[in-house]
Amino acid sequence: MDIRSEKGSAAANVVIAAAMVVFVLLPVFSAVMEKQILNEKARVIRDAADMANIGTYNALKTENLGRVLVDADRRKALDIFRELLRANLRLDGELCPEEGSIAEGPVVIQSLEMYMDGLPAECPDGTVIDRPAVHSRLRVPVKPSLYRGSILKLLGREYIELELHVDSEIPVNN
Amino acid sequence: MPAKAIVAGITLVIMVMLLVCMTEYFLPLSKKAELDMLCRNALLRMENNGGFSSADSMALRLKLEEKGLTDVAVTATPNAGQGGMLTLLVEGDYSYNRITALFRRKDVKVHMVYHKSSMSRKVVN
Repeated sequence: MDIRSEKGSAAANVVIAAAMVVFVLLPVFSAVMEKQILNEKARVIRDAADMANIGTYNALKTENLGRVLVDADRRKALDIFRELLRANLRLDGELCPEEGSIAEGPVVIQSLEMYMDGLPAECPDGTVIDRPAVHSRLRVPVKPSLYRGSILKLLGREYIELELHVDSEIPVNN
Repeated sequence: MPAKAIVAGITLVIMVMLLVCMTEYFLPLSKKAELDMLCRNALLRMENNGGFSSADSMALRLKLEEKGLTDVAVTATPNAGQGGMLTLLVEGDYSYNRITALFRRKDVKVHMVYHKSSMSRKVVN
């Protein structure tokens, strides 16, 4: 005698639906949401780096501009870059996060390059630069927002480190 | 057989509700991105003009209100010479209707803040 029912049961339907929600719908939603939040964080950091890059305009040596020479005080440029980065990412003097910062650990300025002459040039990340510009590269530790503990445990890490590079044109004709 | 159809129907309704609920989580994220973009453009203008006039402030407030924000407050550095620090602080509330429970929708208010600084490029002669 065949004991299997060809019609199935309502209980089986509920179990299948619950399994779909738990094992398919929720993980897919969480992954998409997590990715979206990380992209948003990267956008905010990129905006902050861009503002800091453009701020280095104030390190241009103005005495040379009249002679159509564009040159900058590199030390001053780095100071301005750090100051604006600190203000916009809520960091302390050591570039460690303060309350309300998007960063979860110390931010590292990996490179800050100014391209004033010898153009067109190529930045270390491969972007071709044909006008006076600033290239910066940052490493910012962030934490995932959903299931953060579990994700980091799986990755065996304390943070997810976002490495971002931003090239900004310096408005020398202002 | 009717029991199976009813259960399948209820399951479908719950799954659709879950999908709608999840989609609605993205609404404030996209609204914040819009706010950031408008404020960033305003900050770049501030940088160029060496400050933010009350007319600029009003224009920004109107644009944000058109995007659906309420109780918008704009605080900005009115003027600064070259190399001076400029700060733009914009706060506003975004209210949207969201699923909060099965068959229940409610207005939810999210407070949004944009607080960024830049350096003036305006040379004052």
